[in-house]
Amino acid sequence: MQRIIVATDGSPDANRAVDVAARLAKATGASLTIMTVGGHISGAELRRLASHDGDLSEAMKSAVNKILKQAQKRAVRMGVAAPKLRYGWGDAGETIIDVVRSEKANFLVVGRRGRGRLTGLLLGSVSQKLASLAPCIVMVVP
Amino acid sequence: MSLLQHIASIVDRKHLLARFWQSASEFWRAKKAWVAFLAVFLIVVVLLQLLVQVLLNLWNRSFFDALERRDAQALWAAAQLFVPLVVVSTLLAATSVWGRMTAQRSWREALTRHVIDKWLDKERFRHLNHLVKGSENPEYRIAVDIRVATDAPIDLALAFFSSILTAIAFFSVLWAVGGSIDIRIFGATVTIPGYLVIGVIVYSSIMSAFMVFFGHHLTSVIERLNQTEAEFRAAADAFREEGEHAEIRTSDADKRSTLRLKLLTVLLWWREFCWQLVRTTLVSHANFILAPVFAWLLCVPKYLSGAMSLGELTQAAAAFVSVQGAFNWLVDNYQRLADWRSSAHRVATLLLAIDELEAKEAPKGTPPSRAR
Repeated sequence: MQRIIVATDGSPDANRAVDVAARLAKATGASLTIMTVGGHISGAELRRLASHDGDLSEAMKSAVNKILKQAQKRAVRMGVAAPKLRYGWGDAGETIIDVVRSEKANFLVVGRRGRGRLTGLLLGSVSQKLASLAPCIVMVVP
Repeated sequence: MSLLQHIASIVDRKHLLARFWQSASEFWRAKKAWVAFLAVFLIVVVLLQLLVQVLLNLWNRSFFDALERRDAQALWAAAQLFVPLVVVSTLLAATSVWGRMTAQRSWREALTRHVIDKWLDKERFRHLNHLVKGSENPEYRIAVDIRVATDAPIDLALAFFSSILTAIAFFSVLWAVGGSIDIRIFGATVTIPGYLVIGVIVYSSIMSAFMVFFGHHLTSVIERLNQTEAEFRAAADAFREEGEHAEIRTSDADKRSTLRLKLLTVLLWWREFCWQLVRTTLVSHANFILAPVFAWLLCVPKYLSGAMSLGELTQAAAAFVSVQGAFNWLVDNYQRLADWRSSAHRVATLLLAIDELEAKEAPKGTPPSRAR
């Protein structure tokens, strides 16, 4: 049984990756796992939470759920019956690789979106890291 | 979060502080001679330190006046006077440390004993974690949070008291030494009385406004950081306890995910804390360099006109910096205030959890014993 994992952060590039992964899963009969990595909270959002006594963990969980539900809807629309949903926290590259290992995935699909021009230039993008470190085939969707 | 929720959270915080104070103030309300002596002793030390500060300020003036006159005899007299001033100032600083730390230790002991008694009574420590929410990690709250919650108020209160007295004392120095200044505007001469006092108020107001603008999130961010650090510890402790009670098990993946989430929240608040410090450092460091120079610049016109001696100039500049420093009490103590608030909240949460358990223990029809 082939296992495909697609990583998304809810961005347009990641949405294209979800579409490609869903088409691929449908065409090959593989199982599809949609995953996201939470924790990308801006300083402004943090300050808003601080001044309104908001719960950061809950805010991050709710953001992660929203991203996963949206991606699930897309995948279902593309014809994948019941995609599995996974999430993790912290460093995106390392967390995705952890999930690929624990799911024993054969195929990883990601979008090409970097971390921003300067950070991408200094540290490399998540997709670059995954392409070199993931223990499976990696497809980077432009 | 809705406005109602926001108001509810403010009310909740006030309720927590009230519960903390209810138990913590017992030490000060005990009417023991030792506690009264400590309180009076600390106040007297602050007053004496202020007196030495004023004497040093006056010494500054006489020393620089002697220097300007090239008066070797007066310089020698000033140098001789400086020695006892330094000795007394140093002794008072050391005495103040002893007084403050003795008061903190005694207060910590009283509150810790009070919480430990309530926690151990009827083996509540066994039931607390399972029955009442908000009592996670009680050991840490008792050992560390009570220390922070009893340390900071004494330092903060004494610093506040000292700041008010310093501001009042050096306001009068600025008023007397600075006097008035005449400024010519469009051919007319305008006299500004106590211009150094007005100068320090304007300067301090501007600096405080900058600090509030740049760092108004600092206390809440520190509070959240402390809270998430405590939650991180509590989560790790909970898993350790699980290991000791084999009947309840969380999967390794769930444990890892929970701890990573807790770590991430700590790191995110830490990142925000870093940015808040960067912003406030911009103001505090600029102020550190600007304040004495600004004071000199304000005095220069009178010095150049001969209306102010070199000694008066240095005395006024030092008084200006002292008043400005006193105005900075809140800014200087932002971090400690936030640390204290979060620790006091955590101690209060534990006390409320014990109160709740106490109420559950009371047989039906019997009113629960009044929370001490």
